Amino acid sequence: MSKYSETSTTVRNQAYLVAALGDLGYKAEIHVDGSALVGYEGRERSERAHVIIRRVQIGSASNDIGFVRKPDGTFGAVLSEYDRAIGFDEKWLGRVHQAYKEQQTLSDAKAKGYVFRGREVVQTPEGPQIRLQFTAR
Amino acid sequence: MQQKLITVTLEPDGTSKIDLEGFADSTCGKVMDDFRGGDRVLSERRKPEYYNKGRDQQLQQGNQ
Repeated sequence: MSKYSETSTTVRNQAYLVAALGDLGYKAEIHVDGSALVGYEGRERSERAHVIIRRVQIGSASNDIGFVRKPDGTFGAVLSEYDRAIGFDEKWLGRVHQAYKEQQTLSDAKAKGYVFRGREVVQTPEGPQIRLQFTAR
Repeated sequence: MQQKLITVTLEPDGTSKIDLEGFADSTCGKVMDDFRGGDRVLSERRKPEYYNKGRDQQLQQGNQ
């Protein structure tokens, strides 16, 4: 039998999220109880987050980017209007979700006994598409 | 014996596609669940060869 399924990535695992941000070149801070995001002028903002990319990694006029753990256990992004306008937008979040899903897939597949067969990156007009292949024992 | 192959395609918009080949009907659901990781399902369908296989079997039975 052959079957297709299409899914939308939900970010639940903090370790995979931090690793995914690392894959994209960001060193994220983890704050178990949350920490205030810092704005472009260096002052703390009212928004808090549990996983934070400090603004020094983004740009001198940028604000911190945060991911806050919501009551349902999923993470949501906290992005300022300015940073969305300079490219940290839905498209960027799509890349974060893509990197997260790669971390999750590789880890889950290994834990469940599937054999990793390879990774291929295909450039598309929308951005890089990643193909992972596995076989079942 | 046909190889049991799983291809996961990760799109730049954060969606992903899971493609199973060579699995028995009874195990497809479990393998899909293993690779979905609790993500929201947007769509799911059997591939055309599944239906073609059934049609081919019917044709063979009809010829006997």
